[in-house]
Amino acid sequence: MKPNKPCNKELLTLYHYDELAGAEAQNLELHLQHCSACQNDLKEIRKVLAAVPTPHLQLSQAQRRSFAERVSSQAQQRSKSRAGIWAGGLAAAAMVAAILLLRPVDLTVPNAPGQPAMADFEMLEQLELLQDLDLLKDLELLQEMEQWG
Amino acid sequence: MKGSLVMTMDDSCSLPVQSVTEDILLDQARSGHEQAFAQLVAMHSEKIIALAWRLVGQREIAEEIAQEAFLRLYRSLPGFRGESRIGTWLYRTVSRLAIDHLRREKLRRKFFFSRSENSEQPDPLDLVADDRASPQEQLLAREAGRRMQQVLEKLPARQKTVFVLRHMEGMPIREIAATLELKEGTVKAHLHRAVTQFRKEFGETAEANYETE
Repeated sequence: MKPNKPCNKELLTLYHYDELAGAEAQNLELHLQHCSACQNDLKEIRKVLAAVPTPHLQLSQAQRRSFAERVSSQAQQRSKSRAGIWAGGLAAAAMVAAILLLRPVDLTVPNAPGQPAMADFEMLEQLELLQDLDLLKDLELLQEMEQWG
Repeated sequence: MKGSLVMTMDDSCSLPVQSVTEDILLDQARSGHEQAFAQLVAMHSEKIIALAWRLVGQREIAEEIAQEAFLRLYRSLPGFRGESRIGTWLYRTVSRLAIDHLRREKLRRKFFFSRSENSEQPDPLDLVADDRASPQEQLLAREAGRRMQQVLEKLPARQKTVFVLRHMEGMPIREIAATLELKEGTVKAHLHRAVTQFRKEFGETAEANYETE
């Protein structure tokens, strides 16, 4: 950042964290020599970030061991349950396959909804026969009436 | 399987040795050696739980997140080709799990207008206070820890993660970008916004501390 360039606050943050490459850092340093606003900003950034604490967590050997044992047993359990699921799935698939293979072959085509089944056609033929019988009976009756005059 | 290298979990590994040890343990764990996996977990547990704890602020949840990361590592062992070190892989997984958790938590609070379940528990950031410090210093450290937690809670999940990784873990921006699968420019912007937020909230405290020094 040249002295006459506008201030870039993001660069100040990156400069604080030592994240600017050589040329960028040099330009900013040059800018800082002439810009009191950026000098103050950088000072404040440093002050504020120094006041932000970094919490530290320390685990004892016993805590580490107990955590590792817990994770390890959990991993084995999950692995077993996954194996169980796979075994169950394979067994179910094998059973379905066996049922399909051993089932007697039925080549009838399933009916689409609204279409009559074969049984319906048979029933229809029987009904027609019944109607024919009724007609025959009617004819016999007519013949008898003719004979009576 | 390489020569058996099962150590007791009390063995501490110095850094140069750790990488070799890790490779051998990884090989053994891949071959189904459960103790080798437990050893790997023990080696990385402190750093991984600490990272999760800094990100989510609650020890119990941090352990759950760390546990999930190790379980994912266990599941990935057969395909783990060692292109990245286990530590890097775990850092990435924990960061992502923590971001997911923080987002879910934020949504939950938004919908149910509730405070965190553990908000009544003692703040883990009390650990910031050094036992050897004077009571007044301990008080100030606790107060700083609480305020830091308040500011962190206000930050969006990704911004918070970037800040924790850079400020507390000391991870370079390039690595953060790789870990979170973000562009370096995006990471820089997140970091700057987080710092700006801290300047807003911490400005007065820092000023007061500065004056008393």
